[in-house]
Amino acid sequence: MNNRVVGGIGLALLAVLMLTAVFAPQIAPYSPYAQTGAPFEAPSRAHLLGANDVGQDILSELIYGTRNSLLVGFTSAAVAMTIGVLVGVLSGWYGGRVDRLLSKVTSFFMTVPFLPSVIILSTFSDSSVLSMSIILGALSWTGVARVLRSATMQIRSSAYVRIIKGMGASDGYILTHHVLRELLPLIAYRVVTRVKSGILSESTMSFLGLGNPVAKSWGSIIYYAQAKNALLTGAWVWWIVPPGLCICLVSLSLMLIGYSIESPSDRRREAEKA
Amino acid sequence: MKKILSLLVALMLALSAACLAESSVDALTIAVTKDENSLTPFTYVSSTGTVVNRLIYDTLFIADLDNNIVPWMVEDDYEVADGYTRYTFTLLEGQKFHDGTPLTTADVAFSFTYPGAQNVSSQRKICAKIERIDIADDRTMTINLSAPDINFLRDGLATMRIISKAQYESVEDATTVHETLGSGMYRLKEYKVGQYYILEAVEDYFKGAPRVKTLNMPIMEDATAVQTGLLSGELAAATSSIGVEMLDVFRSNPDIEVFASAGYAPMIMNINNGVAPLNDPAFRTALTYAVDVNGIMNTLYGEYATVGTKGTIRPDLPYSVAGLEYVYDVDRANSILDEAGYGQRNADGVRLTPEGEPCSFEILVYSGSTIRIRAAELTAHQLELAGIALTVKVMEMDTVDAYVWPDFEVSKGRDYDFAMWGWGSSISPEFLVNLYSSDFSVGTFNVCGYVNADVDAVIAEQYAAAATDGELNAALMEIQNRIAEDPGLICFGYADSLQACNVGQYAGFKSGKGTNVINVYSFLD
Amino acid sequence: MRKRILHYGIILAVVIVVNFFIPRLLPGSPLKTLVGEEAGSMTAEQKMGVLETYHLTEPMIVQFAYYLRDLFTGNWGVSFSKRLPIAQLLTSAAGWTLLLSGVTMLFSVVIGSLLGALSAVRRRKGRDLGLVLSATVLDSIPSFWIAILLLCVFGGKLGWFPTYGAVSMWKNYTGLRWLADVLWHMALPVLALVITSLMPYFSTARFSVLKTLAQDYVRMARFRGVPERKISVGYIMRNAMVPVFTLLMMDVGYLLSGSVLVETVFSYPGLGVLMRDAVSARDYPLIQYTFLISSALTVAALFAADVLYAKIDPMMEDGHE
Repeated sequence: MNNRVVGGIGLALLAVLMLTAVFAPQIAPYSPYAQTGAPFEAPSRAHLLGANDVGQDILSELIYGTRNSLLVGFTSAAVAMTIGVLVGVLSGWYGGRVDRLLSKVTSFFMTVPFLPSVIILSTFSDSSVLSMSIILGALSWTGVARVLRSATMQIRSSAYVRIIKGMGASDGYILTHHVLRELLPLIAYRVVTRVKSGILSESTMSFLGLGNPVAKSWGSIIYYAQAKNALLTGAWVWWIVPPGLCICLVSLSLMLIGYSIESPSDRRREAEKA
Repeated sequence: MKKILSLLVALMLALSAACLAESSVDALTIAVTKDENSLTPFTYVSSTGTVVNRLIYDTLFIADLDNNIVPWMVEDDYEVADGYTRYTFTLLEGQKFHDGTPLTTADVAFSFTYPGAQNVSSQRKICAKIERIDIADDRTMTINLSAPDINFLRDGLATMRIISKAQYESVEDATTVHETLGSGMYRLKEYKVGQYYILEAVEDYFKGAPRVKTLNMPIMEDATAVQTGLLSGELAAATSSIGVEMLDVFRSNPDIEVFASAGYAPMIMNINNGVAPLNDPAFRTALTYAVDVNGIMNTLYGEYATVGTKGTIRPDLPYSVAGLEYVYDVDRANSILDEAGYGQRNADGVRLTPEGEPCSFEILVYSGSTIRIRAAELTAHQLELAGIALTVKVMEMDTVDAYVWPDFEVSKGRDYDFAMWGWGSSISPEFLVNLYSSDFSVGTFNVCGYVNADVDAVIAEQYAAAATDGELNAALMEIQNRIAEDPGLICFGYADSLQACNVGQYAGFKSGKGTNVINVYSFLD
Repeated sequence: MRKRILHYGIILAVVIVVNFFIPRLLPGSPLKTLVGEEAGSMTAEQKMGVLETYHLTEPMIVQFAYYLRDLFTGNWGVSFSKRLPIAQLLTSAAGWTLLLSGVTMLFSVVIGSLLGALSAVRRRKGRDLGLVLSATVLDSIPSFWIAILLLCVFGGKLGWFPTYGAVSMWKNYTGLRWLADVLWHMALPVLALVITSLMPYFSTARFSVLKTLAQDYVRMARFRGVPERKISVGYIMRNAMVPVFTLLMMDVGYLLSGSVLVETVFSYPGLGVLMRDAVSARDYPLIQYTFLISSALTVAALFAADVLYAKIDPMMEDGHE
C-alpha cells in the first residue's frame, strides 16, 4: 500500500473521531447521565448498546466519552512529549554539563514510584480530567527523553550533520531543520503509544482506585463494565467491546499516520543531497 | 418439549448433587478477600478478619442466625443485674485452648482486662467500661460495669475474643505475638503472608467436632477472580458478597445457592452541617426532598436492600419509628428553597444564597466503591433539578478520611461539603447517639458536625438515664423524631449481603440476619 | 567509570531522601491501621500515645534520623499493617515478583524484537502493515482486562490453569514437581504481562532495524555481495539491539512495581500488591522499603545498562563524558 493512502486513512479515521467528539450532543440519542433504561438492560432498538449498571445509555456514553478520552490521550501525550523531546534533544545535542544534569533528572524520575506519586499529585489537583492527564503526562516522559537522547547523539556524530555544521549552520537551525526531522518517525511512534497509553491508563487508574470514573470516557465505561462483572454475565459484548474498539481506532489512526511518515532512509538521502 | 426435557435434566442434576453433598466433608476451599495477618484478635485488620477470626477464637455470647444474642461459652442461666451493670455467668465445661490447656475464668477475666492497654480501639472501648471483675471459681464469674450498659451483651460479651492468659501475660505489645491460639472450633494450621490460611477442625471441641475437617482459605482480592472461582467450583464459598448483577448467573448453576441476608452497614451521604448554606436546616430539609433515595437504592440494588429513612437506623429495628420514609418531591424542595431565600439563580441556573454565593458543592467519594460513586453521580444529577450543582470528586480512601474525619477525631473539625460515607454497623442503640450528639466525647461518629439542642437534651436526659428497655427505646424513638424534622445527613439504606456457596460440595452453609455465611453455625451440627 | 558511579550515587541518595517523604506527603495517617476501625472512640491523648510509640509525633528531622539509622543498620523494623518484620515480607514478595518479571522480560524482549525485526525486514517489501496493525490492536486493550479475560477463559471456563496463587497451596510438592507447579501457576500472569509489554520492544526493534538497514555499511555489505541472511543476522541485529537493550533496562523498575494489576487479578503474592496495600494502609515503613527496593533496583539496572552500553557502543562514551 502506498504511504500516502495509509496516511490518508489514518487522518480520515482521526477526523471522524474528532467530529464525533465535537458533535456528541447532536449525535448521541440520549444524555449520557440520564437514566433512560433499566439497569443492565440488553441491547434493543431503543438502546443499541444496552444500558449500564444504572440504566444510562451505553451508546450515548460512548459518544460523549470520545471527548474525555481524546482529551486525556492527547493532553497527556503532549505533556510527555514536550518534556521528553526538550530534555532528550537538549541533553543529546549539547552533552557535557547540560547532559549530566538532565540525565540525573531523567534517571531520578525513572525511579520515582508511580502509585504514590499519582496519589500525592492528585491531592493537589482538582481531579478533573484535564489535570489528571497532565499528571499522567508529567510522570511518563522519561522513556521518550532517554530514547531521544541517544538518537540525537547518533545524529550529532553522523557525517552529514558534521558537514552541515562545518558549513556554518547554527545549532538552532540544525536542531529544528535536521535533527528534529530526523527524529520525527521516532517521535511519531512515541506519540502513538503515549496517546494510547493515556487513554488506557485512565481506565487502569480507576481499576487501581486512583482515577475519576465519574467523567464519561471509554476508560470509565470499561472500568464499570469490569466492576460489574460484564465478562461473567455476558454483557461484555455490548459493554466492553465497543469502547475497546474505539481505543483501537485511535491507536490505529495514529499508527497509520506514523507509519506513513516513517522512512528515515529517504530523509537522510534527501539531506545528504542537500 | 425441549424446554421440559432440559428442565428435567436440570432437576435430576440438582437432585443428584443434593444427594451427593455429604453432611461432613474433608476439605473446602473458601476465598478470603483480604490478608488479615496472623488472625489473632490484635493483628487482624478488617471485618473480613473478624469473620475468620471468630472460627478460631470463641466469645462468651454470640449473635445467632436471627441476630439475637445468645450464650455460647456460658450456661443458659446467666444473670444481668443492677440495671445492666452486673453480668454473672458460668462457663460451660470441657473448654480448652488449642494447645490443650483448659480455659478458665482467669483467662476470661484476662481477656477483658489485657486489651485495655493495647492499641486495638474496639477492644479498648470494651475494657474501659469495666469497673471490676470478680472470679467466684474456675467456671463462675461476674463482670461489673462502671455505668449501666444495656448493650454490653452484644457490644462486649459477644464481641470480645477469649485469649489465653498464659500466652499474653508477659507480652507488652500484643501485636508482636504471631501464634494464633484460641479456643474456637478451628485452629490455624498454617498462614502464609499474602497467600493463604489453612484452618483445621478441633476434633474434641466442646460443642462437637466441626463438620468440615479442613478449611483451605486462599487470599484473593480481585472480585472477578473470586466469582470465577465460585462459578468453576474451585471455590466453595468466599467471605465477600457477590454483585446484584451476578445473581442470575449464579442461580443458573445448580450447585450454587445464593444466601441473601440483611445488612447492617448503612450507606450515608454526609452533609457538613457547619458550612453555609448547609448549616441552614431548611436547606438540608429541601435536600431530603430533592434526592430520590428510593429510586437510587432501587437502581443500585434492586430488591436486595433496605431503603433508609429519615430516622437513619434500619426501619425493622424494635425501636425504629415508622413513617419516616424519604419522599421524593422536587417541587416541594424547590418551594422550600425559594421560601428560605435561595430563590435567586445565576446564569447556569444554579441557586444563589442570600449572600449571593452560588449553591455549588463537591461530594467526596472513596474510589474503589462503584456503588457509592454511582449513588453520588445519580444524586448530583437529581440535585441539578433543584438548582443545586454538585461535583463528584472521587479520591483514595485515606484522602477522603483526612477531609471528613481528620485524625478520626470529630472535635478537630472537617473540611468538605458532602461525602458518601458508611459505617460498619448500626445494630447498637449507641449508633444514633454516636452519630448525632454534639458533645463530641459522646458523638464520636458525628462527622457531619450535627448540632441540635433538642437531640442533645434527649440524649442527656432520657437516653443516658434509661434504666429499662422501654425507657431506652422511648429515648431512641424521640431522637429519630427530632432528626427527621432537622435532618443532618441522608441515609440511603442498607444493602443485603449476597453470598454464593457451592452447596453441591457442602450442604451445611447457613446464613441469617446480618451474618456472613462463614459462621460457626455453618460448620456445627 | 568513577564519574558514572558518582552520577548514580547521587541519584540513589536523592531516592533515599525522597522515599522518606513520600509516605509522609500522602494525605491521611497510619492511625486507622494501627488501632483498627474504631479509632474514633479513642481520646486524643490515647491517639497521640499510639503515634508516639512509632516516633510519629517527633519533628520530621528526628524521624528522618531514625529512618537513616534503621536503613543503614539493616534494622528495617516491623510493618504497621502486616505486623511482621519488613525484611521477611520483602524477601518473599520480591522473590515472586523477580521471577514473574524476569520470565516476562525474557519473553517480551525475545518475541517483541524478533517480530519487530521481521516487520522491519518486510517493510522494505511493503508487507508489514498486517503485523504492525495486529500489534497495535493487541496493545490497545487495557492490561487488567487482558488479565481478567485470560483468567475467566483459561482459568474459569476451560480450567486449564489455576485461577489463584503462585503455587498449589494445599499440596506440598517438592523438587521438579514443585517447579512444574510454579510454572503452571505462572503461565497466565506471564502471558498477560507479555501481551501488555510486547509493543515497546516490537516498535523499538522495528524502528532500529529499519534504520540500520538504511545505513551505509549495510548497503555496502549488500553491494559487496555478502548473503542477505548473513547481513540480517550478523550486522543488523547487533546494531539494532542497542536501543532494545536500553528499553529493557528502563523497564526493570516499571515491571517490578507495574505488575500490581496482574498480581491482583491472579492473587499472586508479589511486590506490586504489597506496595499497593502499604500505600492504602499508610504503612510508612513498608511504603519506604518497598519503594526503596524497587527504586534501587531501577538505579542498579540503569547503571548496568550504562556500563554495558559503553562496551557495546563506544560512541556513547563520548556522549556521556
